[in-house]
Amino acid sequence: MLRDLYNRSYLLRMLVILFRIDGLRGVPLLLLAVVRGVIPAVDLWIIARIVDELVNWNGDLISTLGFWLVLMIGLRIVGELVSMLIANLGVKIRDRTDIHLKRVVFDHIGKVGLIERESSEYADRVKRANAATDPARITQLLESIPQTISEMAGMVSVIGLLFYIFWVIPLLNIIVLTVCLVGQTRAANLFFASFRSQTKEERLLETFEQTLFSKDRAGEVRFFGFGRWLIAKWETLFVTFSNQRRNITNQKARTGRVSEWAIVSFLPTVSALALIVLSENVTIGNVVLALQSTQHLSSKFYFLTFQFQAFIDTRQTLRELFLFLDEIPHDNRFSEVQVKSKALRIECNDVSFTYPNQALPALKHVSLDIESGEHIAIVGENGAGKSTLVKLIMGMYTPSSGWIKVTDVEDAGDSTDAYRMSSLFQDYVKYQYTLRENIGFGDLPHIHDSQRLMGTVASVELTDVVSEVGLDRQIGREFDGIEFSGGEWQRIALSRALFREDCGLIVLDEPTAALDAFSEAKILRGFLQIDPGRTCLFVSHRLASVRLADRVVVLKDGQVVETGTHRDLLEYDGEYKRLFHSQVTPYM
Amino acid sequence: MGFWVKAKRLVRWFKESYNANPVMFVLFIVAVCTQGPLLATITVWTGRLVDAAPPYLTGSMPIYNILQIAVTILVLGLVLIGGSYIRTLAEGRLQDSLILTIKRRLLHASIETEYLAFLSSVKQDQLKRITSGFNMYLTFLLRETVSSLGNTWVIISYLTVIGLSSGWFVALTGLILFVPVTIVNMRLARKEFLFYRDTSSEDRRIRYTEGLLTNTETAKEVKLFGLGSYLMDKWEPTYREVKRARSSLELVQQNWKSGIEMLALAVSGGLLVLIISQGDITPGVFLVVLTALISIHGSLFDISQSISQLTSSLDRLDEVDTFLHDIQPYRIPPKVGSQRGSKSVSLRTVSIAIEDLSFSFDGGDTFVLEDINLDIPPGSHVALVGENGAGKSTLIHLLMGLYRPTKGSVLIDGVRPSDLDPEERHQIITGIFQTFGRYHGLTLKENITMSSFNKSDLHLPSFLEETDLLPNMDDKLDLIVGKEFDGVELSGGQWQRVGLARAMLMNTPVVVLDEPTASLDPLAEAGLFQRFMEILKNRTSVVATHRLGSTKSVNDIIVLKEGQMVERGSHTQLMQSCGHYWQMFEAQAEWYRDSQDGNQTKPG
Repeated sequence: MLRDLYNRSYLLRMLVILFRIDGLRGVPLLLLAVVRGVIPAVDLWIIARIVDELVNWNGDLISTLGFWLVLMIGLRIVGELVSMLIANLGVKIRDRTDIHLKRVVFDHIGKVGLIERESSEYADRVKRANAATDPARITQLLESIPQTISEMAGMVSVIGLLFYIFWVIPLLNIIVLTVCLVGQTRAANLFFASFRSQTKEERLLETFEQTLFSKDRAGEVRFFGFGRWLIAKWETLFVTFSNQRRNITNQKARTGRVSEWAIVSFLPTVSALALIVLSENVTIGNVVLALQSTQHLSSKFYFLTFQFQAFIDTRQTLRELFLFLDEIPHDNRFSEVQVKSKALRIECNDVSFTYPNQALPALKHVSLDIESGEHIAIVGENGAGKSTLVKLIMGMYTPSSGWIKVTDVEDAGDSTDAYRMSSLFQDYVKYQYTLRENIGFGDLPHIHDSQRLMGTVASVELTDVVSEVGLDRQIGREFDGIEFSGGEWQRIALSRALFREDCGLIVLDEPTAALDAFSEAKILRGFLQIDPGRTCLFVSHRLASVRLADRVVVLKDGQVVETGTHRDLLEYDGEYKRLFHSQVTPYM
Repeated sequence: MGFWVKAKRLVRWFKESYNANPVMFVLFIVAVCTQGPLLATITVWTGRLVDAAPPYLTGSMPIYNILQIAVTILVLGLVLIGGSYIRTLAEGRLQDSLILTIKRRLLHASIETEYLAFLSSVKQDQLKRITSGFNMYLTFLLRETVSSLGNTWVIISYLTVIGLSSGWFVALTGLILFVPVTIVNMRLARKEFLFYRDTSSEDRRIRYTEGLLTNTETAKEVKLFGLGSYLMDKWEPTYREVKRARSSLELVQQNWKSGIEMLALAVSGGLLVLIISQGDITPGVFLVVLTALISIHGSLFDISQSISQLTSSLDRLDEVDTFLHDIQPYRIPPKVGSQRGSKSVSLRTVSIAIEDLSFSFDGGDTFVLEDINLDIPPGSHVALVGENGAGKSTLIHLLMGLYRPTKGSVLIDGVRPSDLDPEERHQIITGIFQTFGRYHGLTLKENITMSSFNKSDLHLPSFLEETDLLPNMDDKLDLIVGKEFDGVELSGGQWQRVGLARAMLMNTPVVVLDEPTASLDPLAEAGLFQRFMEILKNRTSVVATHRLGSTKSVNDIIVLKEGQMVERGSHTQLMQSCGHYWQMFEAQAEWYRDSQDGNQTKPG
């Protein structure tokens, strides 16, 4: 129960994190903040004394008046000094917190299952959680905490001062200010709610802009000439979006202005008036004090309501962050320690899979046994479920029903989820780092083993390129490194997959993007020869490649319709023959 | 950089803001500038209130007079707040108008820049710098300039108040403060600008690695290979380094500002003493002078703060300027055939003539294509074959008019395609790119019709029915594409068909296709290739492909090798001449021979 309450006090949790990270600086920081807060009250009191001295002044500056004047200026300089110290301490804490939070978020994202990460809703959440670790956000939070403490201390001391003059004044102030606070809070809530609901439209605007600014789309934009049309579309959306956003801002401003008036103009005047007319205890100094204290109090209060809004915003942001971090990731397959094995055996039993928010299953009752060391080709039309099946086998998705069992034949029956696997994806990553990293990422512990790296490179016929460029030079266009052709990148990605040692399964998901059918098949053949004993799954459209498999699995509409060797299937007058006959005939 | 140069540019951007929304601009300026005098007036009246206390208490002033003063202050306050509300409204609208205007110009500039120039890394980097934080620095300029203007008014108003109550000498002495504050702030701003310029590449690296860790597209690999902690360890030192440098800069700034602030406090203290020592000062006047000094002081700091913000904003806006004014026009004005528009559009047959064509990307000697001579008679189909990197795509881009020949010429129906603007080009040529756009956020229909949205005689349903490119998709035509917009998701093959439909919808006499079926499944591919040939009947077409088998049916095959045209002829002719084509075909066929045997052993 208490735990629950704590979990939902996001600001408190953040404070705890802050103090854990740097309590040594945090405590003096807060003390200094209190000191800074009290200074204005003292200042105001001095001014009142100056005014009283002025009334009876005889023209001599080296008198009580002079003393008060010097004290006032000195005090203000001290105040500035304290602020300086606070800023210095704050920056140090901020930097440490910022790095810590970012690491925590990255860590967490890494643990979340793939199916979740692929949903657009999750992308939104990551964006929002990331917003909480934004340095500007943390600065704001860290500056606002001591500031709020200062202002609170200031308010308390000024209210005390006012009570000392005439009790009506602080009472009046507190009532009016509280009413203002309620209004401000309501406006702030409205503002934040609207900010959240609009992310999709903002993204749409962004997408259009990206298209028009993009290098990859530049050819089409020019050739078809739809740029102007898209700009017009962008403009309409921009106008609608900015009008909506402005309406909300204005609404917030309206509420704000009313309280601003009450604070800046109404309260000081009425307070001074009340003092003059109603109180017995009137000196000119006290009138000035009443005027200035109320002004001060009000401006601080105005600042506080502002701060309060900021806190509400911050709390919402932190809420996103903590809700995000509190969620226990479902992913369990890709644990840090992965069991090495030579060749895995895979059993799929009555596996069905439906994507979240989809009505129809992507895979229906798939049962399939893959023997250890077998080379399997998965074929089928677009949308037949090939990639889904592969991802399920790799443990990236969890079956909606049925089960998949992965076992190491040499390791008797002891099934674990975390076997080492390797893969070359259709949309492999072109890491804008070095060649060593691009290839070595396949097997991180051996990333510095240059000899082994070169061995892998040789197996995909990339030795020339790699020895020319060198393993440790920056590559990729992003940071002005050496750029490769599509085919070369493909081979680099392939060597990454191959570099992974001791993995019992290797999956190639349509590695076709940049290579022609024949280069693909050539590489694939070499690939299968490197370690013939390893279980291998590949998805391909190309007959030249498929022929290399021991067994072919044909998928249609999420179901396995045929399995067998290439020859068997060509013989059998079914889906496979229908798929591939057209590819063979041109060469007959 | 000279002060006047900066001032001039500032004025120019001010004019831009005015042009973006004149009414709101004026309203904004007026609302801001009335605030200073209003504040000063309120202060003066407050002083009067204080000075009214003693005569009231001694009974020499009626309560009516005091109430009058109080009401005046309240009304003035109301006017002040009303003004600041108008300021918010006007500022919001003005900002949005300004963003819209400038961004629209940027978008237009980017689509009008010549293709190859646009692809250059210089342009791309510039664009990246411009677009990051665009809204912020653009609106900063406006807000900070105007608020400086407002603050100047506050200073003038309060100086007048001091001048009127304690003499003009004191008032002018107050201005001295402005000098050190401005100098220090200019320096700090410069330092900040240099810092951001120097760390921008580290910053990009940091963001790149953060992207690998958080993006969906990279999730699979990072998971599979367990790269998370490696990437984080790579990220942290750089991040920490940049962070530390930034923070120490921030602290230097902070400490300088505090120092200056203390100096300013001492100076205003001195002034206060000076005023008092002149004697004959009432408590009300003292209060007024004190408030005036504090306000002047505050405004001065606001102004100098604005100046430092402005300096960095202006530097960014310089780049926007460069981008907007440095458009190499996409089209060279002189047109070859002046009667172009009058020619009938529908399915003329058109010829293509390529003479002594050479092309290099940088205009230098490393030719991607060299000495190509080629005549394509009206209505014929040509296949362009060759290995990866042979120059097929480049030739297609030249035909599309996106590249301009380095030497020689490409003529379609007697016209250089690179001289045409898109409207004119629509009349003659259409095509499909190897990596065509998959436009998320648009509807499926828009994804197809975007090639010819300005054609009124467009009839999509009948086109789709005729070509059968997207069967069973009729009900999805008006849906937005893309999961992230809660729309429909298309498979790779469906996208390919959308790309083809986009190209084929334009009924032009010439069609060029760059690897049109590369990502299709085999069955779809074969079917689609047949469909092309049917749709393309009577039209002049050029198809680039690496799959030799599928080009058998094309009578005119052009073989490219390392940028040169090495052979030309029909499949049979090329096979007989035993050249490069034959070698390629044999190498490819080898992959199937085996399976042919497989077929023959089991006849069925």
